[in-house]
Amino acid sequence: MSMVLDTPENAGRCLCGDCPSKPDELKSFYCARGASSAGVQRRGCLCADCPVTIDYDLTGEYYCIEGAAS
Amino acid sequence: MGNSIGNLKDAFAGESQANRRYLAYARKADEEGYPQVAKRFRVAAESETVHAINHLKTMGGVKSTAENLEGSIGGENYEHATMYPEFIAQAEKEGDDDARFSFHAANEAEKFHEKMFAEALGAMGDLSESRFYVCQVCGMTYENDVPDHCVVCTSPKEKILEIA
Repeated sequence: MSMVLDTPENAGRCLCGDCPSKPDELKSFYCARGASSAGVQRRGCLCADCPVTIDYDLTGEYYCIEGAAS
Repeated sequence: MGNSIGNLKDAFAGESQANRRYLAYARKADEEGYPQVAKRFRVAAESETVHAINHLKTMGGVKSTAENLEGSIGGENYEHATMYPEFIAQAEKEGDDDARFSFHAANEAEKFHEKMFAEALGAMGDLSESRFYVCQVCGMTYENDVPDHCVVCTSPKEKILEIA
């Protein structure tokens, strides 16, 4: 279970949809929903600038690879 | 081969599915740089829409607008209250993330659709003029205000298009 709540309010502020590393899949908001299974290529990560991760004091990146924030 | 009403129902389902399948294929053809192939898929999709509507009308599936709204409210409610929660639970059980999020995205939009139809049924001709938007990635639907990112799939605002 992630420490980040999967709410519409949080998802609406998530930057994953703008991310150059995001694979072509419906899943997103990886810090809350867990890692992608689509084979992410590291092309940059926006998590450090994301208002959601800032709210939760998260310091990690590539949650799409590493899995949900815990 | 069943009776004609049963056949109309089957044909309606098949033509409806073909319409959506061809539109998906058209998008893919556009993405792959084949605009003339995409056009042909859109042509066939439009034709299948006409067939589907003809079959639906023939079997008495188009009623008054109030009746159509009532039926649509029931359908949307069934989808988000019963069908998709069961599908999501099954996908979770199977560990199928792709299916889970495909169902989740649809489920969130169906809630909005039920509310939108219910408001329409309540006001009918007195409805105020609203602007509606649909996320082209996940189908989430918005009225008047669009967030910076889709609240379901996080796609940027540019992917959320107004429906005329």
